[in-house]
Amino acid sequence: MLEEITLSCDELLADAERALAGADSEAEVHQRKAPFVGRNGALPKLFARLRDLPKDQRGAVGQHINGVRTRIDEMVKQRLAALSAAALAGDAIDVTLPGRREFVGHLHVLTRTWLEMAEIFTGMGFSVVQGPEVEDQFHNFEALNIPRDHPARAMQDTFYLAGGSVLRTHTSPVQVRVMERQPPPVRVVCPGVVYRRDEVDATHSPVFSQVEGLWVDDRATFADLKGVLVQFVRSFFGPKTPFRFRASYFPFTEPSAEMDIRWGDDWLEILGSGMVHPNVFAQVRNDAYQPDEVQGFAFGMGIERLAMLKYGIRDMRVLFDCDPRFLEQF
Amino acid sequence: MRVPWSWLKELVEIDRGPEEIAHLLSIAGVEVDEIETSGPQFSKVVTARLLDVQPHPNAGKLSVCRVFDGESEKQVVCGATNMKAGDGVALAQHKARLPGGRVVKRGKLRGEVSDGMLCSEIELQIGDEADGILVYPGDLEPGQPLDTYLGLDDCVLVLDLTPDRADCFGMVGVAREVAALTGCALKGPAIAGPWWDGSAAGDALAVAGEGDHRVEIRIDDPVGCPRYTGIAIRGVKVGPSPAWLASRLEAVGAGTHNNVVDATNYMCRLLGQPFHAFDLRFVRGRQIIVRRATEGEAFTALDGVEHRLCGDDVAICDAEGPVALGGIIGGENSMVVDDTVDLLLEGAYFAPHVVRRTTGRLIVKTESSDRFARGVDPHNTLAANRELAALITRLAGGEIVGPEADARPVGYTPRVTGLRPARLEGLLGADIPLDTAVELLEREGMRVARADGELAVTSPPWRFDIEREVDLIEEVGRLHGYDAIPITLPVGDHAAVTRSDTLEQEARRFLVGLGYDELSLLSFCAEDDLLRLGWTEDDIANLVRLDNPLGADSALMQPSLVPNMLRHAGAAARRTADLRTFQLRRTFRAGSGETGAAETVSLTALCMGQRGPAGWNQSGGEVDFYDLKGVLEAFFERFRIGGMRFVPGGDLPSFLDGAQAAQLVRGRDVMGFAGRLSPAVIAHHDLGRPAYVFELAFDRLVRKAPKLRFDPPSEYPASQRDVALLVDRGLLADDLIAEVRKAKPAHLVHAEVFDVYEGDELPAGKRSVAIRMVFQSTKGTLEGKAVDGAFGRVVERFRGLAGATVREG
Repeated sequence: MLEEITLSCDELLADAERALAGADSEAEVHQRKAPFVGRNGALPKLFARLRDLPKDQRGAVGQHINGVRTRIDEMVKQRLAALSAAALAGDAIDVTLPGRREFVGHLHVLTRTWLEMAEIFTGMGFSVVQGPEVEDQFHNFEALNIPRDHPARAMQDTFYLAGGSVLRTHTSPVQVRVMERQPPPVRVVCPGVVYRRDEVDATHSPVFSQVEGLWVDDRATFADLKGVLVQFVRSFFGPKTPFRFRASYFPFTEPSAEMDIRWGDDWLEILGSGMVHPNVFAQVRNDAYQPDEVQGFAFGMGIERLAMLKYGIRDMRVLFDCDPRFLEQF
Repeated sequence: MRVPWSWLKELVEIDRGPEEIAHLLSIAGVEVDEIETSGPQFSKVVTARLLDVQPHPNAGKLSVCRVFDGESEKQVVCGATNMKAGDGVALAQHKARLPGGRVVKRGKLRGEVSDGMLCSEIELQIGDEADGILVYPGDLEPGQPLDTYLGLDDCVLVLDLTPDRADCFGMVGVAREVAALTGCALKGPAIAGPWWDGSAAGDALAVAGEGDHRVEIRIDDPVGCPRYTGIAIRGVKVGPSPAWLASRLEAVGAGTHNNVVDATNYMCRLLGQPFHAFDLRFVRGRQIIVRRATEGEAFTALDGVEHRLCGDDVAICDAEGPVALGGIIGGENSMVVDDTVDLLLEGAYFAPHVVRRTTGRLIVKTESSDRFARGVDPHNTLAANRELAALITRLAGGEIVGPEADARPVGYTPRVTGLRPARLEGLLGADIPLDTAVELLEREGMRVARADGELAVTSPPWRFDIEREVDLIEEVGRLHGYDAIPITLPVGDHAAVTRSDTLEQEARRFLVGLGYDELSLLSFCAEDDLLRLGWTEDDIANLVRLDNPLGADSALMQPSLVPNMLRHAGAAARRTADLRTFQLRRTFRAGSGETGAAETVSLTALCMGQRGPAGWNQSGGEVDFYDLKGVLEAFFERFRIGGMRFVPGGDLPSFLDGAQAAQLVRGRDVMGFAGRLSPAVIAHHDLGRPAYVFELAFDRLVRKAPKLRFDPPSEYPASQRDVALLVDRGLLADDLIAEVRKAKPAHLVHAEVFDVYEGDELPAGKRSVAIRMVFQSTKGTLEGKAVDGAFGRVVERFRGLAGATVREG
């Protein structure tokens, strides 16, 4: 009796294994396991026969049958897993093939450079304002302490329009327009396109862009000017960029300074700056700017120059030629 | 301005090298552009003493020399015969590099060791002499670098002077600056007496020379020429300049002419004061009259160029007419020539603005005008002229005759500028002790008096750029050193930070997100391009035109971004068939504002080629009008621009193909255009495929950021109804949607053409259009009956519409 049960257990196991191996779908697996472990299957019947055994044998035999049951359950699981793996294998794709793509657009490097600059200056409390590219001579020159016949006018070769207006030679006139519109304090940066009568070559273009900065209140100092520019240079070029300030001359600032950064083996000039000249305040068509009551600083820099330095562009012409192979790198 | 180092060293006791001085000058605002090294290029060539000379045992034409190079004795084989024991020689040591790159090496010549080479002039390229080696006096100190021994190690500091530092336009000025920056002592020529006393106005009439050499000088134009001095010299012998003078002039970049002219040029460079020397023979009537030229007066300059003068110009005239153009250039009729014997030396002060006006008008630029235009020392005129006279008599012989003339209708009063210590600190943000400030100013030659806690600073006549307090503050700041001023951050209030370019940047980023590349092209355009693209002469007359363009093809400010973008597309199309580009930039038209120009920020995009990148699993086909329109619609949605209509026909630019183009209209305003480029344009630019552009008046369309407010979506389901129509092709989609709206169906939230069919099986001139309508309420679920009712109104409307048939079922 005992042996008989054990024997049929082994047979059952072998039968179940064979049956399940032939099942090709989930349904068939379930269908084929039924004769073994189903309600009226062979195992329940074997359990029923336990009662016919002497009490002391029942435990061991029961355990044996249970073992068989666990085994069959495992085989069912394995078969189901094998089936679903096989099913998935049919859907397998080559994930290393290229995806379905879109064209990727690119900001021009000058825009990108300005955005980086704007981020830094707005973070220091500067607002962004813009002004006209066609200027009257008052705003482009006289208001900036560059009277007619002033030698500084020779520093800037100017495009003139028939009516006597000019293409602005710098973004500085925007600072004058801002002061005409609003009383101090003023904290603005003014980006924009400017024009000089230079032929196109590796370092010149008749059309280029500048950023002008102006900070006016009743106490801003030259030391503050240094602070703003040093913070800018460290943010833009890197925290360890060596820099220096050199005395210089601009008609609209006094004292005036140029700032150089160490780039490779050379000191390169990157911007002009200084304390706003009292003559500039005196000429603002706004009584809130009395030269003895307000003070502040201004600075100006070329966006092309900064972009060329930062991104290793040696020839300015590539900026304006806009070859696709150039554009796609930014 | 070129500053030879050797010359500078004659004027100031410099205790450091040219690099350091160049750095100090640059930092202090006298920018040194470069340090130009001149002279021959060789290394490891030293002075040596020849100890003895023996014939070479194996070569008849060679000798074996023993030399001492300051450190040790060396044996050198030499082929020359012009030397003897005890001579000084130039020894190229082992590994010496000669001009042209040749390197000398230790070796054996015909069995004898030769540890170096004795050099000739031509080998070192310091002369043409090829026969024999260089021989110097035997008492030279052996072991010095030869270039040092010969004084060939000079260099030139090339200054890039700002307009305010006219004082550094002479060697003396640069020397003063170096002395101020280093504390080194000056040893230059003396300057005129106690300048701080100034000089009173004198007579406008003065006399130079006497007897046959008597010249009467009169200033009739004290504004253009406040001071004119003259010195008469007789008996000079015009001839070539001595070598030292010629080489110095060469170093500063001036040519040489003869000893008299070279002396004036030399003194001009030394003192910064331009001069002119007249041949006294040719000063007619022995008279110099300084006056404004008469209108149209003719003057031939010494370079042979004839000028027509006008009342702005200062003419130096003799009894008959102009002999020089004041402060600018001498006349051909009175210049010094080879047989000149008697001279009148002019040293004068001309007003900068008058010289600038004349040089600007006549486009004449000389060393003299460059200096007067910026300003020269107004006080040193006579003393400088004396220096010149002394140099000329030394170089060319002759003697000064009679008195010096000093016509001086305007005196010189030194400028006194006040400096408040509080302002100094308040502007620089640096605490510089007052004593330090005083010392720095005094180093620059200023005289400082203290009164009532303020400084009264008298600036020397050569620093006429010092006009007001801030100029003194800059002086203190730069001499103290900008690097010594603290770095602080300004303290602000709490004002809002605003950005006027936010929308522009968002638009750029939006188009970049749609796969478009941003361009940055120049703002000029060519009239030819515009005419070809359909602008009329009248249109062009209404554009912004430059008076002085760089070329005829860049004389107009672009009225549209399209012309330059087409040029760009033409160039790019040679490399790629797929192009999507845009620009956001100003366009220009004549306007009535204060500048005579109206500026618009335009947004322009161009696309052609494939709809998307090609790939193993994608092929998008070529872009068409609806790709471009899709970009615009997305743009309008993004910037919340409602009510934009695409209107065919109308006043479209003629570079567009009217069959596939539209004006972009909002209300009654045309805001731009979009469409396919005409075949002629495609062909002209060699694009090789259809291309599409749009242009928008961005700043008119996107004035301010859309006000965004949350609108809760309806919680109730939407219902959808479709209607299919057979319509005349003349009925546009917009017309049909307008009909839907005119039916005023209740709860309609959206209506759109969702299918279009055109085919042969349809009647000619007809197409089938399907419209989808969405109905929804925010108050409750719409009942089927309500939706049917609204939909029915639409269907009814279409039943009554001419040219349309509702397709049932």
